[in-house]
This record gives sequence, structure tokens and C-alpha cells, in this order.
Amino acid sequence: MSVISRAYLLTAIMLFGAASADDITLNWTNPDQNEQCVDGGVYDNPGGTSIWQLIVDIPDPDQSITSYVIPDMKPGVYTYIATAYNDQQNRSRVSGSATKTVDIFSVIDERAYIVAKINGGFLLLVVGTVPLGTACNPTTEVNGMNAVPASQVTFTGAQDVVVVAKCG
Amino acid sequence: MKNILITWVLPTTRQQGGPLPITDIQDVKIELSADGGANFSSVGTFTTDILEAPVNDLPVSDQYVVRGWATDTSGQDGDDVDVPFTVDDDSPPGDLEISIVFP
Repeated sequence: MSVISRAYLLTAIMLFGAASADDITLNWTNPDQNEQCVDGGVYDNPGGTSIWQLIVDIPDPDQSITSYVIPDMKPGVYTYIATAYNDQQNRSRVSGSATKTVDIFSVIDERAYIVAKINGGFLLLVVGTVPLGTACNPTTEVNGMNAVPASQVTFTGAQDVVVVAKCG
Repeated sequence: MKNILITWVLPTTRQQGGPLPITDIQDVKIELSADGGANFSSVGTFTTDILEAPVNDLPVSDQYVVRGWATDTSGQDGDDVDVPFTVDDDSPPGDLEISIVFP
């Protein structure tokens, strides 16, 4: 591996990340200045190697794009950097990094409940168990419980297609 | 799914046979289990002028148990009374399976 000096690279772009549900939105500011690299001489102070995976290449000669959404991300911690390149394919330094965590909204108490109605509200009745970590439906909530797949429930009582559990 | 109405009658005597005026009853607590009595959820705590509680949208099951007890104004709880019951599937008949035969 050798270090190559390059001239007239673009200045690094700025990167900001925001996670929403299981999507990750990356926003950035495009560069407006060139910078010049100079030969730094012998590479005698190696420190390591980082491997990066290309997510997407966005041709944008007008610099009109400043956002990109990565959909349906699985739970985990993700760190992103970006580079810009000019029409000569000279690439900028990498941007600052943006790290986002995508949390799974899952069962944290294995008791599974069916939902009945009583005067003034809902009555939750234990009917079995659902494995911890089972994904919950964040948009369907009753008395602080969220819907879970009935197919994941081990029933020990009454069965219903709508089952809820404590999620977080 | 079926709607039920839980009803109860207040005790008129204490456990050793002495009279229990209604004014000495503080409340009645009613719970419901859908797993054969392993777990109960509170349907409510009711004053003596209320003698029934509806519960709606119970799915078919033979695992239901209603539990209830009275508490007197001294804070003493009566014994639990458990009543198991079944919600039968009395929905209309399912669909016919029709086939056409060309003899």
C-alpha cells in the first residue's frame, strides 16, 4: 500500500444523520472550495486501515442533493462518512462521521395479553407468553402494551388474533 | 367474541354467621382470568350499589374464571369466590364446501 498525493481535491463535505423508526436520513452540506494536497514525503508513521462500504454513489453536478434516506435498517449502530468528487473524479477528504443507533422495539415482558372491553376502558388478560425480543407494532397500543404477532405467542388460555405485550 | 355480564349478590352474614348489614360492606372486588386462574386482572372495585359489570369482546375459550370478594368497612376481606365459565362458539355455521360433478 502506498500513499498517493493528490491535487485539487474538494473540501470534505459535512454529514449529519438522523434516525426515524427504521429509516436513517443522511443530510450534508456540499463543498464550495477546492483544496490542494501536497506531497507529504515518506509514509513512515502507519497506524491502521479502515474498511468502508459504499452505500450509494449520487451523481450530482449541480450540487442540488443534500439528503439521502436509507430505508428499513435493521437494529444496530451505524456510522457514516461521505466524500464528494469533482468532474475529474478527484475525491475529497472524508467528511466527519455521523453515527446513529436503530433500536428494535421489542417485547420486554414475556406475558401476552388479549384485550377485552369494560366500562371506561380496556381489560388486559394474560393468555400466554411471547419470546423476549419479539418485534412489536409501535402504532398499535392499548394500555401501554403494543400488538405482537399472535403467531409468536404460546397460548395457555384464551386465544385471539389480537395479542399485546409490554414492549420497549 | 362474546359479551358477558358478571353479576353478584352481596353477603348478608359474616363467616361465623353473624349479621352483616350492607352499611358494613365497603366494596366488592371483581377479577377475571383468561388462563384457567393462573393470572387475574382487575375488572374493578365496586361500591355496594353496583351489582354487575359487563365485559365485552371475550374470545371463545373454556379457560375463564371470575373471582370476587367483599371487603368490610374494617378492611377485612372475605374469601375469594372463583367461578369458571366457558365462552362457547355459537357463531353461525361456517361456509359449505361445494363441488361440481359432471356425471
